[in-house]
Amino acid sequence: MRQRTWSVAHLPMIRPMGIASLIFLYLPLLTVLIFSFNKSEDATVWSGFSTRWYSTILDNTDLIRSAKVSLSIAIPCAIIAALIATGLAIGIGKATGKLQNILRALVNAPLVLPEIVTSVGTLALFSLVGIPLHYSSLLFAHVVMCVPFAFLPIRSRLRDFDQNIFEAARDLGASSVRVMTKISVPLLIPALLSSGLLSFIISMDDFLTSLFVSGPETTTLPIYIFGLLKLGATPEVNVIAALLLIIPTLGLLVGIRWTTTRRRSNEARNK
Amino acid sequence: MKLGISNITVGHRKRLALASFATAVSLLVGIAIPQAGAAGLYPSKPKGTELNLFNWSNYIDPALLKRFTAETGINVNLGVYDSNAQMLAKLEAGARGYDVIVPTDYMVQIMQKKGLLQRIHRNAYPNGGNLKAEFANPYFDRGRIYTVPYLHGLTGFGYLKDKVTTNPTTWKEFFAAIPSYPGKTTIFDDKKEVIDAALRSMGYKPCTRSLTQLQAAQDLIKSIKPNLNTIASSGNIGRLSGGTSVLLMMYNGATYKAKLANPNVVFVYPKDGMPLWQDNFAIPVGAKNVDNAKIFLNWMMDPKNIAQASNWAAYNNGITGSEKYLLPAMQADTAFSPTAAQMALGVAMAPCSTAVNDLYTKVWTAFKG
Repeated sequence: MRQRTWSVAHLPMIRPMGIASLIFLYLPLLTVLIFSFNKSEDATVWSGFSTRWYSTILDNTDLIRSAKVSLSIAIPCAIIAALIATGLAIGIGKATGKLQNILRALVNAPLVLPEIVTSVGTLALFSLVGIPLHYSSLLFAHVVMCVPFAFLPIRSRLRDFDQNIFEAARDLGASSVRVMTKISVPLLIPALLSSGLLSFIISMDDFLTSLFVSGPETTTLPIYIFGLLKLGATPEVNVIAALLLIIPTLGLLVGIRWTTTRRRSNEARNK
Repeated sequence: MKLGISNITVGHRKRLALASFATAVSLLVGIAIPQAGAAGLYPSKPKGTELNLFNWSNYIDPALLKRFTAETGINVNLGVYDSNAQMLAKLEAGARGYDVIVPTDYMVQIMQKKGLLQRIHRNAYPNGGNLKAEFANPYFDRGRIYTVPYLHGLTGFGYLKDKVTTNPTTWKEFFAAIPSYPGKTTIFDDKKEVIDAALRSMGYKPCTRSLTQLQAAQDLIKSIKPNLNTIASSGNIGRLSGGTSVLLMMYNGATYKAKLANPNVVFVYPKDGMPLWQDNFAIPVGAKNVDNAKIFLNWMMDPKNIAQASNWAAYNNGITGSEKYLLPAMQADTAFSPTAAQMALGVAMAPCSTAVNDLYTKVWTAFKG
């Protein structure tokens, strides 16, 4: 007799609960998409179908610029944070005992600190030392904020490594550089990607840190949207949100398609 | 030690002498050529090409800023905040590099007391004398030493005349009418605006210290709460023009915009009084491009330019001569430009004292919770 293994799928009510969760997650996104075609002057009150906001958004230079600022911070932030996190994870992995615990606590501390504390602290530090609020200072603050998040997937991936692989490689005479390029890096790539993506998303929608550390030339998108409260937000906000939703989704779909076709062709070649 | 002290004294004396010499020279020059004093106070040409404006998002016509750049060669970078309090917090924490900020009336006073604003020397500007008399000497900046006016508005209420037929004209009638339209009425999510309106509706003064009066205000707003569909300060233009709400607390400019979408919209300047709020341009301490900031302030006092700002935002301004550049239909509408009698009902509101503010917070918490 085949034994049934335990799985979440067998929990009672799992199906309706799952469906409800999915609706809860995706309904707001769908609403944003629909409201980007709102005719009204108002972002939140529906009055009819129109594509006018898709054309006016091109004239709203401040909005477009803040979206560009957000991207120009989030992309390098993701790369830098993932690289620093990799170094930290490898280094901390090599440390032993108490030292390892202390180092790990230091890296993770920003996760449990309220963000308002770090952001006000960073601003106070910058003005004390006399660092002007520019692109680089905002990027720096974002990297600091993202590193603990980027650290998590890499650390757990490193812990799951089968140490025998490395020993085998060294037994067979591979240099440490070769072990790095042929084994460590390829094994780490999924973790690097997920920590980069995580950092990208955290940086993209960060509000508090940007609020305090951004300068006049570095208004990010979330700050711009919050600033709209004075006269009321127009559906342009929904349009930019919809575009930010559609473009990465398309990118992701293309990416998935590309990797699956490549894997299939690799499998075919191996046969 | 002694030597050090005497050195300081000498240095101090030297500085005093220099200062009095400089004063004497400037006085002499001032008498000889009256314009010379003004030359240092208002720049003859831009310095560099940058201006950092710290403002709400979407609170100034983007086309207007483009024209400013075309006419002066100065690029405007926009930094954004979402409330006066947050702008203050950021500048107090030491953020520098903002050249022009847009504080609301009461915030001007707070910032000036904290030493965060520069004297702007408005009288040296070519357009410095363009202020309307009623905006030249506000309570928060006597004589306009630190600010020039931007836009202003009044808080009253709006309704749909095809739905609300009682023709309310006061806060008293506004609150009395709310129970007739359950689920179709809205008030601001704003402690001060709502409690002030409730106090006015009963003939009391805002910022009152009387506990019985505040209790009465609390009872009033709690009694109408079940009839509200929402408590919100934004989104009300669409709510009114779309008919989601038929009776709402509104700013006059927002109501004018709602009226464009729905001709049944009416704005009321309540006869029992209302707050007049005014936003202003100021130059904070630590500004990098002070000359360009002054050029911007002067440019915004040109009637044609400020009129374009008013046309775009639907709020009136404090500059004489701007009337002839305003959109005729907008200017003819009392929701945009109140009559003299309606304008006289508006009161520039200083914030309540801390003690009264704490009482307001208690009332507001009891209402919302």
